[in-house]
Amino acid sequence: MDNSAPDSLPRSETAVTYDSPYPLYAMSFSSSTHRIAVGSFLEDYNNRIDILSFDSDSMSLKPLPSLSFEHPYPPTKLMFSPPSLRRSSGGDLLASSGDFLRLWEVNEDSSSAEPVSVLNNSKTSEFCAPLTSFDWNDVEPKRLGTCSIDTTCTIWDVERSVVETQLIAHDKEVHDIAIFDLRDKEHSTIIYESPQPDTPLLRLAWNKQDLRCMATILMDSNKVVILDIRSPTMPVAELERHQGSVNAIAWAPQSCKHICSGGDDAQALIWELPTMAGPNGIDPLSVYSAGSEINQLQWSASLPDWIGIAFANKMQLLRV
Amino acid sequence: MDESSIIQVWKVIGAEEKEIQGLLKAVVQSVGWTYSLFWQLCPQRRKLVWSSGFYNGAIKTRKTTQPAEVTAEEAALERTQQLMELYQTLFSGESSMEARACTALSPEDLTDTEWFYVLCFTYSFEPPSGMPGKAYARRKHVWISGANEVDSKIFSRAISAKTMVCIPVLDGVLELGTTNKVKESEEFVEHIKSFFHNHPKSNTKPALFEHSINEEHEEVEEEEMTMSEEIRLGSPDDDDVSNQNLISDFHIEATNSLDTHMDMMNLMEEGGKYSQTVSTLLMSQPTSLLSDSVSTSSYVQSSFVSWRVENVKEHQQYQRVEKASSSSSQWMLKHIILRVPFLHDNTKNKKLPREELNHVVAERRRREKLNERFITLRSLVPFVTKMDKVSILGDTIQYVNHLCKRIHELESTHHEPAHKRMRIGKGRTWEEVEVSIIESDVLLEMRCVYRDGLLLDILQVLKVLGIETTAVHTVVNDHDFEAEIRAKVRGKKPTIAEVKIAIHQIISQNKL
Repeated sequence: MDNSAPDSLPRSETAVTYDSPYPLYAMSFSSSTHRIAVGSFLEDYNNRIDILSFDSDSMSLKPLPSLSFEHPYPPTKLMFSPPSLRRSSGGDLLASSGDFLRLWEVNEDSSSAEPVSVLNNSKTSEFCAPLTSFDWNDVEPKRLGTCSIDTTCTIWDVERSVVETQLIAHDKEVHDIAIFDLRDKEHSTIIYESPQPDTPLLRLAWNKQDLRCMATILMDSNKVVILDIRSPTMPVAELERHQGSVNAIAWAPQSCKHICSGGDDAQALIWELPTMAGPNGIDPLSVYSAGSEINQLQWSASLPDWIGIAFANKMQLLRV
Repeated sequence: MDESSIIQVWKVIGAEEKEIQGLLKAVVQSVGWTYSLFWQLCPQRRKLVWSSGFYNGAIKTRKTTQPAEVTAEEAALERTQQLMELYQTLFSGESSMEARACTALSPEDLTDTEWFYVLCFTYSFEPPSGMPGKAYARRKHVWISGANEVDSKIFSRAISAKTMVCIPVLDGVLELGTTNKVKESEEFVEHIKSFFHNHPKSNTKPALFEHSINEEHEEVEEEEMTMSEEIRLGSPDDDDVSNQNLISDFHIEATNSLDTHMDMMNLMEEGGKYSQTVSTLLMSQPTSLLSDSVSTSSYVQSSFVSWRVENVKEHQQYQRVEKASSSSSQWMLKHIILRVPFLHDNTKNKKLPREELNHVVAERRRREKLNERFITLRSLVPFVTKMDKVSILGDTIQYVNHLCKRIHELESTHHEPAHKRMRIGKGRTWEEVEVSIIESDVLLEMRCVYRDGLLLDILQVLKVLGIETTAVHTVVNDHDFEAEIRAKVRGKKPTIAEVKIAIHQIISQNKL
């Protein structure tokens, strides 16, 4: 289907771009307002987190400089709190991971971003193992899990700022964590081991619409592996159409069958998972070519028509 | 798009819009027809979209907030408004369903003509296609009487209205319809036009309104179009609404509209009569709907292009270049995960406090002990079929039960203790090899005919397979060789089958 009708707008005009003075990595969409947080990626102590405001009427992304704040070294992940956890003052709660897990309040009246707390999971000293990622529990938003290079994962109660549990189930550094249900804290099953030994799994994503499904990406691999927790070790599907390694994945917020992936080939692919895969594997539904390698991808429930990507110094919102 | 923004847009329209609607009302009432619509040209997209309308036809269920005493005029206006609200709730998402007021209309309250009126909101025409499009392009009115009998190619919306007229006025097209069959008449057309002669041609509306109105229409139209296609294909099978295949057949870019489809489909099923109406409506014009939907889908400019197999070929070149520089693969992601956390370490103590480290190590040791014990258990129990922990425990339970029974039997019947099992048929070679690998722990049990150098050969072949022997226990009597070997896997984990095959090979060597 050729979409170029003679008077249609050129592709690039449908995407909304924000040019940042520095490369970006971490990105998160607010669940309540049209705010987006982006974290810089500078190999330096001084990094920043900027807050942008997306105006869908004027199709523009504007930074809110008063809400920008500093962060030591690049934040490994940013995430706004789930919609059910609103601050009494009405502002957004933003969490960032890096040396510690820090919580920031981004005020609605856009006057400033205030640090709320710094969570340190070391019982004895001021120093704690740096965090590679974290995830906020949608169902019980006061719970947040972090994972770190010291092979542990920690579940926090953010309202009381204390540790609930520590999970030590990995033999090596933990790269990513995704929380669904914390009732079964005692169990941990090896769900999937990468086929080549010593190939770490770098990122995970639960399908929020179909909680038995999750997706993961491996180091140096152009495949997106889809798993079903009911049949561990056997992937449901392997999506292999990227021309370079995959860097980020995001499930569609309102569909259990759609997922988007972005990679080093500068392409963002939207896939639809069929019930039966064809003999040649699964082809994506559609593709977007960015200017350079896509490092981050977010598809938020608050803006289901838009996918956010980060590449080089830019953050773009693509219309689905 | 949420409903609130749709309502906002409509409220903001203001005086000009009301004027048009007033005119529409006057026009349709003066001739006593069923409805009037104004299709306005959207210059950006060069299409005619629904701009305003007035419903003047039969009403099925009256639902009103006001007390009984109300003029016919106001009632009619209110009805139009209610139809608009119904449309908005239907097409703007599930969340608004619950928010509907009790006086809001539901599909079963509508007559067929009212339903048709509501569906008209969703159409758009690119001149010169469609009846309004044709009227606009020719700058001349188009009249169809006996619309329901007309060939679908000419009139794309088969309806229960019998006569329809499209007249170009102002910057768009006025459409009138009635359930009576009325013959074409020039006077009629002139009469209608006279209403609009006094109305100043509406100039550029503020860009914002136009854009937002049309944007709402775009999204909604696309949803409607794609949904309509689904219904069309679904109606032969009917009842069981399984859109899965349908959706995947069409490369629809608005993936967010899936939920809206489901709701729409459900609603359709509830108002059974209406789904039939809609089905017949859509069955009768497959081709034009398709062309409508193609043009509508380019309406919502997605940033994505649909995938073509050629994409793979195009990028072959790219891929070759990329492979060469695989060291830069996932550069930023790897940095974030593997390097950045260690950057922090540089500014602090490099070592974790001893307590925490111990805790981690202790936990790991505990797990290792568990695994070891499982393997031991497995070696004690014969007849273990699977090698996973659950099966081992299950088989152990069975075995223990079995042993208890056996003891019980033996004690009660005082059998002679069984002699050592006679080796029957020495000539017959019997051998047994059992291999179990749990994580990195290996257990090998075997029985076979003894020969010199057998043990050494076995250990050597294990080493070749990447298995590092840690403990060996053998029993050799007469010509029989029994061994229990524990080991650890180093490097690539061999499969149990591989190990068994290798051992069997060793055993069968030198056997002549």
